Formats: sequence, C-alpha cells, structure tokens
Amino acid sequence: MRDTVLVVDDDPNLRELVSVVLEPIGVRVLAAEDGQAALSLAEAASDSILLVLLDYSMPMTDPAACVRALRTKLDLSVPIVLCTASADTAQRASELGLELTLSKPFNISTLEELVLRIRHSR
Amino acid sequence: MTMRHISVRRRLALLVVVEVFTVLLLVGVGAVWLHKLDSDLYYVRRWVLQPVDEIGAPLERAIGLGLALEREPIPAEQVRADAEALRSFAVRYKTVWMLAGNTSPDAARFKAQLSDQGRLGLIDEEARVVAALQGALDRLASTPPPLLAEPPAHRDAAEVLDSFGALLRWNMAFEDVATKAVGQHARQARYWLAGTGILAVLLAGLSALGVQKAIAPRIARLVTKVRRFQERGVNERMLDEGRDEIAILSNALDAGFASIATRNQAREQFLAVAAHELKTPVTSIMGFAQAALAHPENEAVRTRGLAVIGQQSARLSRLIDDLLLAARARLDEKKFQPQPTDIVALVQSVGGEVEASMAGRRLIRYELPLAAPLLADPALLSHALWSLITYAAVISSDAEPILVRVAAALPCHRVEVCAHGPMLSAEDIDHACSPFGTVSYEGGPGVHIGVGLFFCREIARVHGGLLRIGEGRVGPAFTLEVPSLRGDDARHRAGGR
Repeated sequence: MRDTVLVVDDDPNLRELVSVVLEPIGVRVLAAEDGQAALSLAEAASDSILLVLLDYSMPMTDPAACVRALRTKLDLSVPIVLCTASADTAQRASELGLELTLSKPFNISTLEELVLRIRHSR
Repeated sequence: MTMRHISVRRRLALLVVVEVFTVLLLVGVGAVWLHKLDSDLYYVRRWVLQPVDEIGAPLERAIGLGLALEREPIPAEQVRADAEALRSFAVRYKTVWMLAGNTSPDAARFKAQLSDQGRLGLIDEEARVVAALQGALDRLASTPPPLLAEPPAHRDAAEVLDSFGALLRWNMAFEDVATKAVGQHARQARYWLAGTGILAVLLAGLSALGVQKAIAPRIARLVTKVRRFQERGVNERMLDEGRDEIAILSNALDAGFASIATRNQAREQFLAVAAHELKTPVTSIMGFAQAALAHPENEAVRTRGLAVIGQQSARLSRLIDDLLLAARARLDEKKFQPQPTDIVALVQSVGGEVEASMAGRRLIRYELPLAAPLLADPALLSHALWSLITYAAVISSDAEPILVRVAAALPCHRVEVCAHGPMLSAEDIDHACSPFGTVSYEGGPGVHIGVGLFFCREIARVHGGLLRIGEGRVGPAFTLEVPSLRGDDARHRAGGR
C-alpha cells in the first residue's frame, strides 16, 4: 500500500511541517534536503511512495534533473507535486512536465486534501 | 568617406553653401540680363528715339519752306536761313547718328542687329538720303536774291522734304529693328532667368533632399526607439555604423537603454527572489500556526509551532529590514548612528539568531577572542553579519558547519565567515554585490539563494571598512573589515558625539 509522501526541500521547517500535518492522518513522511538524498530515499521506498513534494529552488539541485531521476526510480503513476514560493509556479511546473503544484505559503488543509485525494484515487 | 561619416554640422553647412550659391547664381544671371536690357534701353533711346524726335522739328520747317515756296515768291534770305538751319541738323545727323562710316560700339552693335535681321541695305540707303539732303540744302543755301518761286528752288525744297521723310521712315524702320532686338533680348533674359531659377531650385532641392534622406530616417528610427522604450520598456537594438552626431547619439542611447533594461531586469529578478525569500518563513509561520490550531490537544505540536513561529518571525523581520536597508542604501538614505560596540558579542548574538531560524541546527563553529571593541552602528553591523552568516549557511551543506572567526587587531577588526561548498565565480560575486544582486548557485540553473550582498558592502563602507569575498579552505569566504578602537579611543569618540 502506498502511504508515504517524499518531501524534498532544503528548508528543514517545511520538511518538519509536512510531517506534523500528514502523520496525524496516517501518512508516513520521508524528508530529503536535496535531490541526491531524495533519490536515495525514493530508491529505498519506491513501492510505498504515494507522491513526491518537490521544491524548485534548492542549492546543489537541478530540479529538471531531479525530476528525471525520480521518474526512473518511481512508478510513473506516482505524482510529483511542485511545491515552490516562486511567483510563476505554473510556468515552472510546465517546464518540468509536472501537472500538480502547491504554492508556498499554503494552507495545511490544502496539503491534506491533496494527499487524501491522491490516496483515495489509487 | 561615406555620407554617414560627414558630421551633421558639416552637412548642414554644405547645404547652406549650396543654397547661397544658387541664390547668388540667380542674382548674378539676373544682374547680367538687367544690365544688358538697361544697355538696350539706353541704346534705343540714344540711337532710335532721339533721332526720330529730333527729325520732327526740321521736317516741319522743311514742310513750311516747301509750302511757302508754292504759295508765293519769298525773299532769298529767308530761304537761305531755313536751308542753313536744316543743313546744320543734317550735319549733326551725319556726325552723330549716321551709321555708314561710324565705328562706335553702339554703331557696331546696330549694324550687327541689322545684319541679324537681313536689313543691312538700310545703311547705304541712309547714307544716300543724307547725301541727297545735304546736296539739296547746299543748293538752297546758295540761292541768289531775289528768289523767285520758280522750278529750281521748288525742286530742291521738294527733295529736302523727301529726304527728311525718307530719314524719318528709315529711322522708323530702325526702331522696328531695335525693338525686335530688345524683344529678343527680353525673351532670352526670361529663358535664362527661368532656366537658372529651375537649376537653382533643383540644386537646392536635391541638396536638401540628400541631407533629409541622410538624417530624417535615422532620427525617425531614434524617435520610434525612444517611444517604444517609453511605452513598453523594450530596447530594440539599433546599431548606427556612421560616425556623425546622430550615430553617436543613437549608439549612446542604445547603450543607455540596454543598461536601463538590464537594470530593470535585475530589479525584477531581485524582487522575485526577495518575494521567494519572504515566502519561506511565511510558509513555516502559517503552516505551524494552522497545525497548532488544528490540534489544540497536541501540546508538542503547539509548543514546537510557537517556537518555529517565533524563529521564523524573527527571520522574516530580518529579511524585511534587509530589504529596507537595501532600498535605503540604493537611495543613499540610511542613517549611521555609531556607538562603542563589541563585535564579538554581536557575532555571537547574530549567530544564535541565525541558528534558531534554521530549525535550531548547530551550524556555526566559532573562533573568537574575548572582545573586539569598535565604534559602530550595532543595528547596521548586526544586519550585515546576519546576512553574511545566513548567506554562508544557505550555500553550505547541512552536514558541515560554517566557520565564523573574529580577529581583533589594530587598525581593523576582521570577521571572517567561511562557507562549506563550491566556490562562487567572479561573475556571481560581482552580481551578488550589485544593487539588485541575486546569486545563482552552482548546484542548478536559476537557483537563487539570496537577495545579494550589496547592502553588506554598503554597511562596511559607511563604517570606513570593506567587505572581501574570496576563497576559504573549503568554500567561499566573506571577510568584513571594520576599523577598530582602543578602549580609551572608544570612550572618547563616543563621548564626543
């Protein structure tokens, strides 16, 4: 059963916040500070990952390369959600070939609803 | 040398020269023809109208003499007196106006006109008439008294009358010739003036057209360029390869607009990065506040949430202050309020604040002396330190702490902040220190990690110090140098303010 969210963000508070929000609703959270750590976690837990929350701006990480690498590690049906504070979130998602976005700052209910909707749809 | 290499000033001067030349040409041709026509008029008056006028009086006298001789015999003295008077006129006519044998310029000109009109025979006719007139007058003047109204005198008087009549007709014919010649000159003058006028207009027009063609389209392009830049902020590159004033202006404008466009782009990028930087703590604040409210029963979440909100609020406040400082630095409006300060204490305080904002991570390693006094604006200096330490922390990997080292010395204290990561390129450093600077780190294209170090450099400058960015042992090193003070200096300078 896929019940894990992989959050890739260089901001430790954001990673912690995602855990605080999702763990009470039964979602396990794996946190990575950059693309390299994310790939290791994705490889280790590829069968249980429900979705990936990916920040756009991270030191040492090219988001496009990170997306391509994650696609090779995960099932193609696993959605990657672009989670960024950029003003042009939709454009950046389009550049990366992603359909789902979550603009910072976000309501925690939006995050909960997004995760639950994806979990129920599977 | 092409047209575009001639300066506009010289080109306009050339145009003025051409215009003046054409006007002078027109005036010159007009003056020549006016002189010619004036000469014609003088000539007509002198050679045509005057003899015609003067023939009238002797002609009347000859007619009177003839009529008197027909009516009754008259005294020989009267005949001789009339004949003498008429002979005097005939002599004057022969001397002044008769063409045959006359070598004056006016006579030569008249002969040429007669020749042009095929009437040279008039010259011989005139000479013959004058000779006949003189013969008849000679005979009348020698008439012995008493004169009778008899055939010889009648014949001579009739011949005198005929001769005067012939002279009058001949002069009328000459008037006709002269009038035609003047008319021809007048026509020629019109043609010349019209031709010269057309030539002048063409010359002036073509010159003006050349100047207009060389200048106007380029000025129009400049105006379009300026309008488009004003309306849309778009700089359309327009390289003018000439060397005249317009080319200089155009290329200067192009460079200026390009610079403004680059600056505008940098400003927009700066604002985007600033917004991104501001949203990061706001996300944590908002998220933890909502989580705490959603789980009021969960004491751990509430406590942690409040802690994060506190830390991130402080970070947000710093960021906002940074932006305000950066704006004031750009506007040169910041206030410098120095007081005795210990930079070691300031470094520790700011370092703790940064660590707290980074989720309480222990990310700074210190190498500090006991104290390092200086005269500084603690608010400004703490902002510079906060920005440098945050900057270094963000570009360093989580696993490695950054090193903050203070070297207390005279004449300058040195604060060195050493990051742990790849070096910044010279281009990145220049860009980071520009007024709207942001930095793209090596880890990925377009990854912005901060709003730049411009205001740090400005803060160092107002303290009489400087900011160096160089290479440390394991990554970029930021060194802030500020003038130091001995304790008594500090007290003295602070008391003097």
